[in-house]
Amino acid sequence: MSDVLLAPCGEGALRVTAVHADPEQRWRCVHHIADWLNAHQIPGVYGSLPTYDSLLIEFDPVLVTAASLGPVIDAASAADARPARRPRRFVLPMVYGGSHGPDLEFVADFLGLTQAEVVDLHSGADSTVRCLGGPIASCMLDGPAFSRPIPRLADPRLEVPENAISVAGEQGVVGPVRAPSGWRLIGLTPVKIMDVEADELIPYLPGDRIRFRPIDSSAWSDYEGVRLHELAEAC
Amino acid sequence: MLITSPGHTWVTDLGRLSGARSGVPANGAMDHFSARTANILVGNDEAAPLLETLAVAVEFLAQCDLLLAVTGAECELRIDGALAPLWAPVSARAGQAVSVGPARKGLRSYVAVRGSLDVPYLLGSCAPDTMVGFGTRLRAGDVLSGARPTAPLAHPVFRMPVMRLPVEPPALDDEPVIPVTDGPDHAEFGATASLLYRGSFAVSDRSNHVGLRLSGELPTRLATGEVLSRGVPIGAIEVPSSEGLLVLHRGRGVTAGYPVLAVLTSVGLDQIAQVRPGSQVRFRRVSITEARDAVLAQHHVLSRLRRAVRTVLAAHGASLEPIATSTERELSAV
Repeated sequence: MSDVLLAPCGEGALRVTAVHADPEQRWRCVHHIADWLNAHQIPGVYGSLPTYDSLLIEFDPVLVTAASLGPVIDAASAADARPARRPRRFVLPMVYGGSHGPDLEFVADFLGLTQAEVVDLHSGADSTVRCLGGPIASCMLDGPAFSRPIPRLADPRLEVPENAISVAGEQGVVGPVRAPSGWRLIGLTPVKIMDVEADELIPYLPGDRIRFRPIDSSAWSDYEGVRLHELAEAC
Repeated sequence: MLITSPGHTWVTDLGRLSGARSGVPANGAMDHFSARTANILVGNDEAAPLLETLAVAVEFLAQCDLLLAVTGAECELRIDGALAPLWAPVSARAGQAVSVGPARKGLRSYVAVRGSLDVPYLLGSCAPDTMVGFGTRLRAGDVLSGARPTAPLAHPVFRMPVMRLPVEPPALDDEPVIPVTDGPDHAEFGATASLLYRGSFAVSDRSNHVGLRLSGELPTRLATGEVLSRGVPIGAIEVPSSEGLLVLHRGRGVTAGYPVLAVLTSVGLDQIAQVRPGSQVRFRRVSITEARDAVLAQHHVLSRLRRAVRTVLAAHGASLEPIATSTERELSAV
């Protein structure tokens, strides 16, 4: 196989990296393999985690080896792409800057823009959900159309609140839980992203779209108690 | 079981192994071999809920006749004050006090009771997830139900060496040598990668179920450039800063943007779960084949043990009906 590289990660995991020239195609490739594996439930394969250009497959080393997965990945790559479900879209109200987004000022200064211009870029277009990431079920997005990558904090914060919206590099993220973070925090949403009572902890999947909508901090309480699960709309 | 002294104890199992796709860490027992063995010794499914206790003692009252097994750290197991063996099925009569610990060597003890423990589940597992704020932590006065009443196994066979169950507790060395395989990004560290196998590393007290921080003479990444977030294996060794190594354990966030220098083997993960902060560890490089052979060897030990336990329990007339986990019971109730 020429368009992916396989690298074992210990005896119980395998990293598959797509090597197409086009990033969009790399992303499609690894998510397609992950969808196929998920649909086919290979005995001994616990699951797979696709991100931007790679996929981590975790398995029981008693039943499966990295070598035995080679033909499986070939079969998955050759199969027709059929998305698990139609993409959905979420319009997410958020409060930018100030105590809600203490790094908005840094991002504006770094880009030579006003804070309002950063907000316009961040909220001006839909972003694609690329994958679900750490620390738990974070919504990893394409970053806004900034002129250059945003450096991470040299000294990560020990804790950012739940439902935090941040940027770093050329990526964006919505973090459902309170956690340490080295990303630049530009705002918070009053909407509850994670619902432990729901069948799915979080409602978004890779391929869905998020649109941020600026709201005034005085409107915060209007959205308290709203769950992101309720905001899903068809694309 | 009435909890009289909770120590630092959670109800756990083998974790959410298939959660990574939804961005959910595995979590669960950090020393899988000890946890699986404890459950097998009492005739449970190896993924049944059990107690994981950290360093200090946990004590409870048996409210019915229990069959229990304690594995993991080296500690004292006492039933109404009388010493009982670890790594073996042990009976406690209704009304007897059971105390486990504190750990003399190692860090984590596992307490399985025959039957199950009725606790909430999230995504197919009862393992605590500190990020979500989920899990069952014991508090004094808690009553844990779900154990299957099991008449005392007072039969002399349990004291006869011939019938000793075929389980050898793993060694708990003062300076353990942890087996690791080369990671997928090993080459980014060039010749400095070999520093991982040369010196010893001190385990920081900022270590937990998410990861352990280790200091020592560090390999350095020679490549530069940002790494896109990608799935990170349990057991990954990263060098995020000049301050030390990070060994990611079962509670690790599923993605990271650091190169993976090496990956602890399954056996290595269990070993390092028993290492106390302040201790020294060394790393030993093994091939993927050797790592898998060790897993297969463990698999055979546990299969043999499972058969032996069934024979012993059957000889005592204990029911060998499969014990439903609480999720199965919920499903059958639906």
